[in-house]
Amino acid sequence: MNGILGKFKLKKAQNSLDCHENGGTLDSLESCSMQNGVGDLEKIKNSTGEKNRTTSMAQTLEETFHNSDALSYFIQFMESVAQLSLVKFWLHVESFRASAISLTPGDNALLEMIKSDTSNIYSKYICIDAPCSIGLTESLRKRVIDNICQVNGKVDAHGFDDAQKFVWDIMERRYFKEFMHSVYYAKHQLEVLQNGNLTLDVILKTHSLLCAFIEFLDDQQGRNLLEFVIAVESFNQELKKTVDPEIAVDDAIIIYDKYFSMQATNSLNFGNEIRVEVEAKICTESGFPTADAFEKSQKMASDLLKQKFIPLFLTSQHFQKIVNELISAIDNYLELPNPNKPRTSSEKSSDTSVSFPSNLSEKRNSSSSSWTGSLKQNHRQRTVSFDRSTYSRSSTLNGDEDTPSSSRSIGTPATPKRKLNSPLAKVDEYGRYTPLFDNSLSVADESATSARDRLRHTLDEFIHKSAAKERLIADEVAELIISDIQRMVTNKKAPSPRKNL
Amino acid sequence: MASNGPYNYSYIFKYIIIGDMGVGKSCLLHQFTEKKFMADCPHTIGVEFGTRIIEVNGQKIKLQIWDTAGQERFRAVTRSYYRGAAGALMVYDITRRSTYNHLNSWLTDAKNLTNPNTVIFLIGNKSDMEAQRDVTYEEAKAFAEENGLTFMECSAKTGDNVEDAFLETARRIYQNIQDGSLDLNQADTGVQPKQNLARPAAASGNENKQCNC
Repeated sequence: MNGILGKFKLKKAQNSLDCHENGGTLDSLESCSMQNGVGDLEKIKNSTGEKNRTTSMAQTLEETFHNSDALSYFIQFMESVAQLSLVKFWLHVESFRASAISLTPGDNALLEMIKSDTSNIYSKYICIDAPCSIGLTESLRKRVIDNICQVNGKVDAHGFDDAQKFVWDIMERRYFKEFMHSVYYAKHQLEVLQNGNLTLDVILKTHSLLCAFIEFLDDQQGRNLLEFVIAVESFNQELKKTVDPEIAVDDAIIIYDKYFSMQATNSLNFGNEIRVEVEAKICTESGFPTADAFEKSQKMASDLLKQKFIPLFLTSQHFQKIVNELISAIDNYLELPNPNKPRTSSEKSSDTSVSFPSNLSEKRNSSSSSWTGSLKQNHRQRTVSFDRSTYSRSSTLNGDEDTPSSSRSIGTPATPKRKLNSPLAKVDEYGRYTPLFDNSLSVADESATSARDRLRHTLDEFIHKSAAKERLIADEVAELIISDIQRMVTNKKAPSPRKNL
Repeated sequence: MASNGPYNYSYIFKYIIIGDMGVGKSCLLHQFTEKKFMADCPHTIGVEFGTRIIEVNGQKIKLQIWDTAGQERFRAVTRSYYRGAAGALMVYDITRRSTYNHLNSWLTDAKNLTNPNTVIFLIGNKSDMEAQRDVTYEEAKAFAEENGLTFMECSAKTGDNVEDAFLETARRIYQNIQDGSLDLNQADTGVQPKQNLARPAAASGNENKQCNC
């Protein structure tokens, strides 16, 4: 530590050149060190020589529209909430614009066709008693009319853009979150997981996957790599906001000390060259560590994880358990519309508990929120705990799914998934008490603003799960015993086959 | 209501409908999903889609059908929907020879942009307009056989053979799944969900496997 601070002071005294990059480099960081969408998938795919494009997991509305499998699930979901017109309108405007932009002056035939498109779209979606009305506000409708009724007989290729943005916002803010908690999204996730194409990015963003991955990584090197990647992500987010160079440097030095220095407790063993480079980027002329201080090493770490550890993880029982939980949760959901259907003794429908069980989507609410910020947001969504077995539990979504048009209240906000009159806690058939309000993440650290505390908090949360693990194993053993006994009891009741011999 | 509920199916099959402008693609879709003939059908802007649940071999299957615009100006847009289709219905108009002559180009697109196991079905629409027929049944049948396609003449107006075309496509897709030629572990097969097939033994809590023998 002294060594590096010494160098820091030395550099300050000297006139070393270091450009301090701010802002937008995070995106480039993300795209080069973590998979992000199809672009990087293509690169990876090309490097492994695979021809078929595998599905990636859509985590934003935008990704959903670019992912044909995810889109078809989204369509089903929107159908179930009777909002399909929004999707259709959005798609139609895309097509309309693509064609209208290609209009060359003098091409009257095309012009006429485009004009007729305009009026078709208008009368189908926008006018007052439109059959597939998208519910534009009065002012928006007027604006569309102004745009499309051009006096000079021309067409405005962007005439519907405002309305389209309006519709996009509705889909994104009101419906997408609900979609992510629906069985349709769960099916999409399951498809991706079973495709064998799991990226580090998805693992990091999906709570239960991340926990399973950590448990799987009992190897120290793996854990170091993962912790490091998470720490750098945190650091980068904070760096964007920090004004005090000392705090920024302090944070950088924590990471340096732990993973790079000669006395590192969790050395990544990336070699001297990297260490020297990192030192230089932390101790700069401007006083701030550069935004790409850990970029190269983060990339190396995530590459290692990708190439060595993730493939192993995919064949592990930790991963398989998550897949099984998803499958069983989806199956349970499918059975719900028939409340009179006889259930096996080991799964009884319990109360109307809230969010879709075992759904992996405890994710960021807004795509640009920080990593640690998202933790704070996410803890509200972690109602039923992620690491409980689902065999004994089936839950329903809000409302009655059988009659989507009647009971789906459009005005229900998506985030608080509990109804106001739902119980605060439930006791399942195994006698286990589960609070339905969230008390799992203590908010004692709310006041801690330094990245260091948040860092520690994040790491603590993810790494030290042994108590939860023990509880889980105890639960499973209990369930096994109980179902054994139930089976024995049920079999005893059936006429003994031996009598027939 | 529960029997018509949105969950009462085992699979989703994605279809696309392709072909020249005005051959009747949207009308076919409308006839199939609404059982009505749209006399004044405006041309499709880009894509449309419709859904319907059918039954094949005792399985309920939801068809998600993407109806594409035939006009050239939408080609860039519609091409992006070919990927991930389990079935492609290629339509021409029996009263307009040009729509039949363009089939080669549609077929090329279909073969290039979809999965090699995508079922391609040739439909000669407007079979009710016998007096204006411009393409014989036999020559279209020969073309279909040459290219390994199933072929039917239909009428979106009267409904003749429309159901059969959609159902037969589904039957073939289902057959491909059963005999393994459609590998559901690959992406973009146009068949969802996949998990119903490879149900792991661990998820046995759902099934009451009581064998009393």
